[in-house]
Amino acid sequence: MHYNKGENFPSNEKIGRSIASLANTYGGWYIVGIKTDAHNVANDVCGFVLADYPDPISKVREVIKSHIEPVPLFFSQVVNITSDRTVLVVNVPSGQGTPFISRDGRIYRRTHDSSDPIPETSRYAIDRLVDDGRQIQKRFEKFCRDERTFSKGESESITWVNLFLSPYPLGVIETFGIHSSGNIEKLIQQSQIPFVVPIEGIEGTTGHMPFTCARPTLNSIILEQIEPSRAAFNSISVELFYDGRAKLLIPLQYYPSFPRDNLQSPITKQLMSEIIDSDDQNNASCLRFFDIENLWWVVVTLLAYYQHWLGDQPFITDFKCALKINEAWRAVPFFDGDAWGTHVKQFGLLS
Amino acid sequence: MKTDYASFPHEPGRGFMHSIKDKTSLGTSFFELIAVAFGMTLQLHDDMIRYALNNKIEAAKNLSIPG
Repeated sequence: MHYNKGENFPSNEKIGRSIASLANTYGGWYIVGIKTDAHNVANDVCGFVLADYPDPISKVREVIKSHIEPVPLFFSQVVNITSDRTVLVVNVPSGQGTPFISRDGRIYRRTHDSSDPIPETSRYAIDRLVDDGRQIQKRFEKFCRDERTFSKGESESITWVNLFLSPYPLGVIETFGIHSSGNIEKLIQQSQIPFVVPIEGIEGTTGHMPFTCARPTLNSIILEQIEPSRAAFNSISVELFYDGRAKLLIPLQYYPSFPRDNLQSPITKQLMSEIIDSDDQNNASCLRFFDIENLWWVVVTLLAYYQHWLGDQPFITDFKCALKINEAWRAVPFFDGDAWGTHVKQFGLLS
Repeated sequence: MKTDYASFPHEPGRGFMHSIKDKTSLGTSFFELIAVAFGMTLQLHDDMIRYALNNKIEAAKNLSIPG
């Protein structure tokens, strides 16, 4: 918590240094309009005169953008204490990519025994700040792993499209009670009822991915769609973590054979026939076709399910996202439309 | 279909950032990557989505992929 002492709005430089110091340390709250005693303990909410600073949120936003590089995440709000006096509250989340450099070229930090930000002069401390910033990316890369165990047959034959999502900044939210039976039951029920799937430019689309199995781990819930008799194998799954992160693990479903029968698109149908007719040595059977359209539906539906679970989070601005595809050898995305056939005629088969 | 081409070229291993406010485009951002990873052009990606929306919108109502 950092208070700006007194009734006056601080200078731009002072705002910039204070916000940067919070972002460089453990985050916190910056408040304008609080009086403090000699020991820097708040003892009066006096506010500042609104007429003098009619748009304090815009002012602090512009100051932060012009005085700190890179611009840290922050959330500001005003609290009116009388009709003409108000208090400005700015929250700076922790866990951001440090260091943040102020316009005077210095790196300010907060210390426990000082009320004002102080410029960092220790090379070791600056190295630590740089390392802390890099750790955010390293932590995300470590998260983006599929840590399941596969049998040899599974690992060699099944293609997995894995999506990883992490709210940024991480650590702002916690989904308490994630391991309770009621919560797990609710997650399964929500998956079995069609919900809105947000698609750009399209409204009212619904879909769902009914899960049949849910199990808790130490820090997550894993939801799977799997028949009881196939429980020994890995299947499509969504893993929701208590801190808002998620892993969406999707197996590709290949066509059992070269798709040529019952095709609707005349262009694609003719193209496939030409490929088969010219394939004297049956090489085309080595290709593994899958329905890219179906994969798209699965991806957008699972992402919608995840966003639905996460809900509206005012203190998160972004997702860190990553994609990993395993064992996609000879995989050919296919859909039964003229565009696919036209594309292949122009550019060749996708694989 | 509005497509944000700014995410390409994509640096493998580092992932990408997506604004939490853009709920409708999270799927697009991810699927553009998937499509390009499988050798599709962004144009074909857009054509595929148009085809899916025009012809098989009901398919999304009961997705099922057994393991």
